[in-house]
Amino acid sequence: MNYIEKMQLKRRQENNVLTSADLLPIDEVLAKGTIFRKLYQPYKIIPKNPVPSSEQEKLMQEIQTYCIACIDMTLYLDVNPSDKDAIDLFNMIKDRKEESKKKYEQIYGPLSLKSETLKGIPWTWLISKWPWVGSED
Amino acid sequence: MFSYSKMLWFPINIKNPDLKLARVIKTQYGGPYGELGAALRYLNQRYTMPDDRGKALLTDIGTEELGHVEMVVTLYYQLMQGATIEQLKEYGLEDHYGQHGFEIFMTDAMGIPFSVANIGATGDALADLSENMAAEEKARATYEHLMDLTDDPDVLGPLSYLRERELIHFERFKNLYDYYKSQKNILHSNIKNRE
Repeated sequence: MNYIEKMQLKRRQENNVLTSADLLPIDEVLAKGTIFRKLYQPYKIIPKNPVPSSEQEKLMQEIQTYCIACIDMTLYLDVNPSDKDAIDLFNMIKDRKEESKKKYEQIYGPLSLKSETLKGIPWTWLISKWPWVGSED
Repeated sequence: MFSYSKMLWFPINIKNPDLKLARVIKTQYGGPYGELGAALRYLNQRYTMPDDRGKALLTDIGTEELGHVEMVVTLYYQLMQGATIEQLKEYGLEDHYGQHGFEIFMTDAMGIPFSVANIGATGDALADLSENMAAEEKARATYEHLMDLTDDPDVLGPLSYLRERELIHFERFKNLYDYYKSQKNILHSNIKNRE
């Protein structure tokens, strides 16, 4: 995914401004647990994304990737609230997260009580997987 | 208002239950450097943060930590899945079984119940934020200890993820701490109320 290129974040002179060099590629964000290259410091293992055992898990990993990118940008913006490029990036990631969630919910059921997939009978909130139940169950 | 998302921050699918590890990992649920204490500390401290940056950061990290509580509980729960009473006895979990059956419970690794008695809440932004920086380091160290105790990739992945989040939270608390240090007038608004 070339979202970083799309953003065309350019290195600037001001302090506390995010540039593309500061960010990890999106497909590494989930395993590494951050989008910020300099703050990634592994211990013991080189983390890799878990291998999804189904299409459902694959789509869930896509959502989880955008979720972690989103929270990382949120916390960054809380303490750097004037970084315009970072605000644009946050909004772009957030839109992708919402798109992925909608796609998932259409197939596998609601992820929240804000979902548009709660009109079915019986009550569809019960059909989506509980997160603490592993894929082997 | 809080709302629930029916998903984890990071996928957890443990294939090999491990009671020995379950016994220890629960410290990050109900132990002194655990996720529950972190979530409650930040969500409690946010009310007296001196500006909107502080209120936002404490709210957002506190909320993220609630999701980490769920991750740690998921690890704990899946590591205990399918255990027999004989196995629980073998790994010293008969105390747990006697009190809680197969349900999980918030204690530290030694079985001492969760306590809020020593949660830092001074109403002083600099004191609270340095407490939080220390807490994130203590949680990072604990995750490293837990990672030392297993070679199961299904457990190491989520632990590695949780450990990395401690580094991120430390950095953001430090950013805020340094900002407040450099902006004496912000801190003064809190001090003024004491005069």
